[in-house]
Amino acid sequence: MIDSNQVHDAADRAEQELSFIKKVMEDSKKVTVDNGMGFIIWGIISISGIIFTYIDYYMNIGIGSLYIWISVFAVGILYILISVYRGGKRERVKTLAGSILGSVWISCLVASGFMLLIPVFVDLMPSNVTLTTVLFTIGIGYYISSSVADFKWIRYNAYVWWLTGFLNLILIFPHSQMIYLGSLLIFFQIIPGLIIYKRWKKEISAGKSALKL
Amino acid sequence: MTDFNYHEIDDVIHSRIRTAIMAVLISVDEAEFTFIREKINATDGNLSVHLKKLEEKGYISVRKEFVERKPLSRYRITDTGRKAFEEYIKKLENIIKSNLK
Repeated sequence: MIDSNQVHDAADRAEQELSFIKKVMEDSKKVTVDNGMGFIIWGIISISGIIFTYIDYYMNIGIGSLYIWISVFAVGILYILISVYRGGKRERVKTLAGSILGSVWISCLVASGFMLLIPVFVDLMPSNVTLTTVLFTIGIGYYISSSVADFKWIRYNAYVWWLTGFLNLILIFPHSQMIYLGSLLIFFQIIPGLIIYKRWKKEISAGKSALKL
Repeated sequence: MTDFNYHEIDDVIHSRIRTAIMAVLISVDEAEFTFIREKINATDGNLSVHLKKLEEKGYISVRKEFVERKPLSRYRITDTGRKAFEEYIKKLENIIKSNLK
């Protein structure tokens, strides 16, 4: 049995302890779960796809946009496999948010890849409709990322990709479609990737926490 | 007078540095040694000793591997550790509550 002064002291210490725990937990959760490289690399790969499609269309090479985009996806997926293998080993911290983010984008890419393959096997959808479904899927990826990774501004990217998917059904001329998609990739894929990368780099170089033990 | 007992609190967790380690590990899935060190501003030696203590108690687990010829130790909280930490928080909350009575 102890007196009320001791209880008061203990309560003070308990309160300090709880606020300390809260501070450490908040600080530890402030981890940028993505370094943005995936956004940048996929942006560059997709722009290469647009350029190849443009060259193929206007120079009448005859490869066909579908096969170009299947190749683009193959390169992108190869990049993901390599980065998952190498990045996973170097990762200093694993978070639930990071795992969810990775799973969301991999499932979006697998779904998009299959959508691109649909016209190869069945004459079900015109190519611009296929592209629209891919753009809608990318929008889903961005929308979930904004909540999971605490990048609220990325939600606007989702709206842009969904709108693009819709506009893609109207803009039927390959020339304007390609210019539009190219600009979109620069402004809503590569630049956000660079912003995330900068934030990640800053966090890595800042390193130490302000916590005093 | 009250029937409150401060000594019921878990001594293994109830140390500034070990509480901080547990708080870091409960916030993430898995963390590498250097990440924990940076988050809690501890020295290598000091941190190793406290990590060992938590590991011996079964509150955390460690996975050691070599990445590019460098040794890496990755720590994660175990189910026992999670329960113990939750219990520790509850105890602290009870202490505060008993003061309000």
